[in-house]
Amino acid sequence: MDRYEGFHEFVRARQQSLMRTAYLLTGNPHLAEDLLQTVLIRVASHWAKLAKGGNPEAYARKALVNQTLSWRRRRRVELPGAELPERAEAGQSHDEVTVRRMALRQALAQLTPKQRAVIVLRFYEDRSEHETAQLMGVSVGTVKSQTHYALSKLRALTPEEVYR
Amino acid sequence: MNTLRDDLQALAEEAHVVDLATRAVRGARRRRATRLAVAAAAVTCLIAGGGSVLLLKANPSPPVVLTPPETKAPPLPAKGVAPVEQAYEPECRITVETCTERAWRIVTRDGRTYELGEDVARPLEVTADGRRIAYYSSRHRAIVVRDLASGRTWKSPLKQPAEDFSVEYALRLSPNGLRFIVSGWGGRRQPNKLVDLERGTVTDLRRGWWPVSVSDGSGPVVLVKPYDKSSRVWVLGQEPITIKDFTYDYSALAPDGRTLARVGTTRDPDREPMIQKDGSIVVFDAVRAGRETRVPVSGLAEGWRPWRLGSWLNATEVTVLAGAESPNSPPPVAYAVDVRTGASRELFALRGEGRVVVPGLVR
Repeated sequence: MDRYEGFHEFVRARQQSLMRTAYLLTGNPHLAEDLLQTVLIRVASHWAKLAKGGNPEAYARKALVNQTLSWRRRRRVELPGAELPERAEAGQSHDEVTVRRMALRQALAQLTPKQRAVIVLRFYEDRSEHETAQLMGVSVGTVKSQTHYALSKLRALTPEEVYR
Repeated sequence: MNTLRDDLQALAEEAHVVDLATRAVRGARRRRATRLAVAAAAVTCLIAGGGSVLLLKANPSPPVVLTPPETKAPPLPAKGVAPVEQAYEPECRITVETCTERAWRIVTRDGRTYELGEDVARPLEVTADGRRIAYYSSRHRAIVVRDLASGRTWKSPLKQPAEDFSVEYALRLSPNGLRFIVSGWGGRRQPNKLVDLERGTVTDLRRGWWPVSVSDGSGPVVLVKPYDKSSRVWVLGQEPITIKDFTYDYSALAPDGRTLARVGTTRDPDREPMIQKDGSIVVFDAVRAGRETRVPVSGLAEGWRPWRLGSWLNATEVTVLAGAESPNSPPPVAYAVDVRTGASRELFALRGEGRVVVPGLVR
């Protein structure tokens, strides 16, 4: 029997979702791919056990978060996009959204790995504080304080009164 | 918060489309093969008995460093202390609560260990010659530099809250320690300042640039800024140059005032992580782009790679910290490496625990 039976199907079904989380966690497409590949190798190494009774996706998501927090090289990667464009005129909502998202991308790059992880887990994956704490291996109090710091910083670094 | 959720969703949609299943299985097979090979080798060595001794002689093995048991260290004397070989912050041994009370220790080149006072907090750095230490003093709320032989201290004119050092930071000292850059990322404040203790001045540096080298007096200052697949290196007062590597691992500026070394890396999509330290160091001109030489480092233990670089011991030898990536390998070792030939000679092994500071290392 193939040691990795079912692994290809699992990856095909879940890799894009995991990749999106990895991209938000790293802010860089190459590092995201690198991160996910590292995590999937670990999943494949434990596949026999995970396929029997484990939860491969939960394992992979936890590994994504842990790996990104411990990844020194992820420390500071410059974003390819340089300056924000000029503000759009009133009524040009599409441009406003574009500028806001560019500002968010740059603001996320200013967060510490932990702050960035809480933002991704709480507001992208919609995890509860308890789940976020479990995934990150920290206390609920830490999740609360990191969320507070991260949101304060995002608000300070993004235009207008968004993200209230 | 719905706006934030929507914007995160939109950003996430920009992620590349990937197909990693085959690569992951290949990586897992390689890992498994390595594990089996190591196990087989261990069994073979056991069976072979004396034969293994010969094998060990043929391949230099990493030095075995036994972590000494936790002992009391005397407090740092007011003066008359020899240069530092390494400094370390012991790991918590009993409970997490005691972590707040642990104190930095220095190990001197004459083999003595001293404990620094409670006022000495992170960051702590040591000048390349080991004669001066610089640390954040919670009492003065500033960086303090101390000459270990004379006991003289200099206090930074830049007042800083301790929170500057609760996130990512760097404290890069000049050779005599009287000029330094203090930088921070991720916190509320993001300082990036050049401090001159002799002149009593503080100069703002451009944000986003990482400090690599500071010279004494009014000598050159080098900053770097990594991008996706390249990095900018900037000797202040000159035009920045671009190099084709993403790395943070540089040496200090060489005695000629323009040569830098960096840890050599290669990018391989079939490996994890894709960017691998390849066992070489690259020497390049930090002022004029395009002139660089890649030198494989020889004489390290089997499987070891250069990790970080530091100060220059003379015109051709640079300090290199080397180690193995695997978690159970022995502690890293500081070497002197000749950048013309790649030949290395061992300086000392790091302690196997806690946070260790090597004089002059760029990190």
